[in-house]
Amino acid sequence: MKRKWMALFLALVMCVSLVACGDDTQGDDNEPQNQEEEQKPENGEGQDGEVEPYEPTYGEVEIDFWQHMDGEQFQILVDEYMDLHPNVKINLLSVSFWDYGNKIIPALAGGTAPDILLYDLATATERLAYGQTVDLTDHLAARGFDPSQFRTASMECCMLDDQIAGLPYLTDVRILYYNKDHFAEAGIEEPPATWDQVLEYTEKLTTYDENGNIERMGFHTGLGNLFPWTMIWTYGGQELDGETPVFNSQEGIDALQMAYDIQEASGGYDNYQLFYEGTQSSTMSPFVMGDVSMIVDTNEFAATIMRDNPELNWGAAILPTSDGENNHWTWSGGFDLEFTDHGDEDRLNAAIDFGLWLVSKEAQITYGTKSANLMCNTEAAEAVAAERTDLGDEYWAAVMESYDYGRYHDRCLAYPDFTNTISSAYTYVMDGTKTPKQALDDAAEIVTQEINNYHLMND
Amino acid sequence: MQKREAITGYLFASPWLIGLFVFTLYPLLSSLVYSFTNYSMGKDFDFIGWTNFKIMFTSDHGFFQSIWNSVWYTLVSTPLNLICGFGVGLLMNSKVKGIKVFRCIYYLPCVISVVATTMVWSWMFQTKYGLLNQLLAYIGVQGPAWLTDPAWSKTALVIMGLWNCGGGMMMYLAGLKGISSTYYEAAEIDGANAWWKFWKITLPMISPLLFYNLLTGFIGGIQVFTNAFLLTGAGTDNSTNFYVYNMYTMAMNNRRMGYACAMGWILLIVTMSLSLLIWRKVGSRVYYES
Amino acid sequence: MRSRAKRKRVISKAFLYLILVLGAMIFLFPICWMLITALKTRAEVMTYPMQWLPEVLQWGNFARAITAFPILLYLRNTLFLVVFNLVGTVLSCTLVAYAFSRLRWPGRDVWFMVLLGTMMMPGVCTMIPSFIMYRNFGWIDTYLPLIVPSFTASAGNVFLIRQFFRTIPNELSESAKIDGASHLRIYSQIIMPLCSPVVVMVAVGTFMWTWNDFQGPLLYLNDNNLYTITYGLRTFQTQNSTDWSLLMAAALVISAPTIILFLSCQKYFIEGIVMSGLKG
Repeated sequence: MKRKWMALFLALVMCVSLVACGDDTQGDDNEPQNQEEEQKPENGEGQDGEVEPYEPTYGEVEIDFWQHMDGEQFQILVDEYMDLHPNVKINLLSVSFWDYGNKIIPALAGGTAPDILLYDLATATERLAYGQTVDLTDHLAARGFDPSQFRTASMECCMLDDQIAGLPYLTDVRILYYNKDHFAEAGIEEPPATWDQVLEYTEKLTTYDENGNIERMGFHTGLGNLFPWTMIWTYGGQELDGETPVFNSQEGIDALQMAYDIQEASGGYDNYQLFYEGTQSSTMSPFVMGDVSMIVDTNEFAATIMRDNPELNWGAAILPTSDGENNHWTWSGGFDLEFTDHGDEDRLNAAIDFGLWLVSKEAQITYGTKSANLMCNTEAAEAVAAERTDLGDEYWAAVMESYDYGRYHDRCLAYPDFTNTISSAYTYVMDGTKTPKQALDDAAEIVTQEINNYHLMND
Repeated sequence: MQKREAITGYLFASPWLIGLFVFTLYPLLSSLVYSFTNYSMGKDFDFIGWTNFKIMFTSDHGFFQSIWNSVWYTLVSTPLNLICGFGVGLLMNSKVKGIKVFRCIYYLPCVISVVATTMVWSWMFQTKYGLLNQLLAYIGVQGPAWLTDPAWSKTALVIMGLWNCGGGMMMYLAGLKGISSTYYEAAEIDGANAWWKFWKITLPMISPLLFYNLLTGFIGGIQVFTNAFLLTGAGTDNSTNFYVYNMYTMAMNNRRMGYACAMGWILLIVTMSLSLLIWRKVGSRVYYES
Repeated sequence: MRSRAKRKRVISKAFLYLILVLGAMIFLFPICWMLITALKTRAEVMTYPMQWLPEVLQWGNFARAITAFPILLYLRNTLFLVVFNLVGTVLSCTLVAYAFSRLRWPGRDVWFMVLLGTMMMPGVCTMIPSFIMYRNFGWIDTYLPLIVPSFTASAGNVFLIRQFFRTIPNELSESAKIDGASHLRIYSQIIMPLCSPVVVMVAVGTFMWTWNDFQGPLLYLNDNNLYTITYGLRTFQTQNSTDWSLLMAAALVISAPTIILFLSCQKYFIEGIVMSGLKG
């Protein structure tokens, strides 16, 4: 008996020391770079803190690049770059979109992440804050890189105080799509500019058949890609103020109340569920099928419409706001290029050079044109818009205007999941369980509690 | 003699013991260490003592509900799976023509990949056009919103789990085939009826398997995660926010890996205690021929 | 008298068939639906409410599914893993189960509880330390993390086989021991043959598990050329995320080998090489 417990205890000691060793190895990943920077002033900071201009000094080098978006287009770009730079070999790994997180998170934690990776723009600063990715500030300064080529909001999203977490690559915006035939039928001339108009139009557009079953739904905030925070923004509300949730302000309550009123005008919660379930089984969007007159969705939805129902007579507009004049906002997501350091300066430099090439205007146009993506290089975005005229002027006008004022989630290192809390509040309002004030106040309480928990854990 | 058997025992068990110390113990004990830290998968982390556990029990809004969800699921699915698997196994043991075809059909669900079956089930559970509710409509019953109604979402997942009972069925079939026919013959000579034969012969002889399925069903049920993850997420009103699902979102969405490990160890301790209880109470009644 | 008994038998048989067929419909329906979906065009899949039957059977979807990704390469990779896992699992699990069921050694029951305990920790917590451990071994981007652990006996299989081993009466092994057989001989020549159904079952289960496993390849493999078949399907899914007919076709194609394997092995572990006369 005693010997067995000794053995177990020894095993425990052994394992704990393995854990400790594991950490040291992780730490080692970032040390050599600093040492090398001191020894080779021509590639880093000089004696007086000024950044010396950068010259590529690597010969044959091999870097890894992981991504989870359009593998075909990235392969084209990788091949092009390798032709231009025969000394650089890039191993492109395309991973399935839904599993990417499960692959990249352990890789980042375990120090085996690739030299350059594509990942979620909104959380880029998180990874920098936790030391998993490289701060690009000095590298970019040494290369004389001008960040103004990027969409402002995207670049800001990648910055943590003065540090640069990644190079913005690809983004999106949400716009309002509407069915022009339905509008003509109902005698509506222009797409709505205010949410009151949306409510009014919804009442006019929603139709039922003889049995009282819904035939056509005017609009619902839960179909498509609107999400409650976007609506709250368009009422002038905010998500967070520092670490305090403020989405339960009067603006937030008004926004959710309007969402509820729109639901009531378009057939109520049960009909909404009917349409919503269809989308969950990956059938065609009800807007594409002509069952819904207006829908808020991403700019990439246009390509879906063209593919699934080219006959549809659709139009696009910027999102409505509370009064049509102020609070022009839309929600943006996107992806950026981030870099990890494995102690090999050549690989890091080669990766950064490749990354900078990828975000240059021509490379971005090559990627974005195929699927009319919204690129973060503003000139490239405009070029794609000029190229893909098949999607229509009205569409591009709405997209490019939204491009200018699109915003990302407020940063919350303490509780990144707060957005799901807001979504839950929205669901409580829609199914009638809680009033908007109740739902948002409860959500705010939860967020506050979770942020407190974070501080209990980390202070 | 005993010493030799002792050595042989360890020798035969050595593959597992080696694996335990080389592959299993390090991650397991790491997670134990992590549970006392604020490890966020970053470079540095600090020891914070019992803080994770304190937060869990006092200021985590989803904690107790996630426990309830997992407990409910376990209490409902484990006996149902047991009965379903054993029942189907008995059925498949009948000597009718074409039974082999039926066995294949009943086992088929276990063979198809989870990804594909999830999509099928998301369609089956649709409120208006899903197969389940359409069938119920034929008999005049209005089916619920399986996946979005908080009162029914867990039941939907239980039903989805029952569909995979083919695995258990195969096991019971193998076991039933292994029951020596001499027992039954002797019983018939003594004039026993089918019920007696089942209760006094079949059941005891198959009890090792029943016990296995009970215990593994219990352990698996308490860790329910995949179906919720693929189909419902946390569910309306957090109705399918199971304990392990909660752990997953804490770790992956909020980077609170240390906290998730703390939750994991609570789960392990509870599962172990309850398993020991089941082992003592039920395991002693299992009939082994050796 | 006889005709009444015969009628009773006919009725009970008919009743049995009724239940069997009803159950079969329940179990078969989703798969039929998968097949129907695979035979539709993309547009037909997307209609809502669901359209039951396709207009024209799109057998071409299967051809497209097969040619869409390097299926032969993935097949070869998967079979490589399968073979190693089969050998490793069957060998190690039966040996260890023998130790837990037919041998007496100090601490056996405590170790068995530890064995069960290893099943009780959700993968979320151990995923990253495991990953770090394999990285320290230098095994990332190789097949080793996917193969070697199967030689160290997984808890569930050991438990199952142990239950079967314990159903064999002691007299059999006692008499063999008296005849001077070593435990290894008892294991291989008496116990294993008697429990071949469960061994075959574990083998089939291992095959299926390895075949369908994509978490392992996702986590540990960074090279396209090492991918396995289910993981290839997942990647394929991203490129064609809304082409459900193609995806269902691919899913069915991938499931086909396991179905065929199951059909052919059914004879083994159902009919069994169980020598019922030997017992009792």
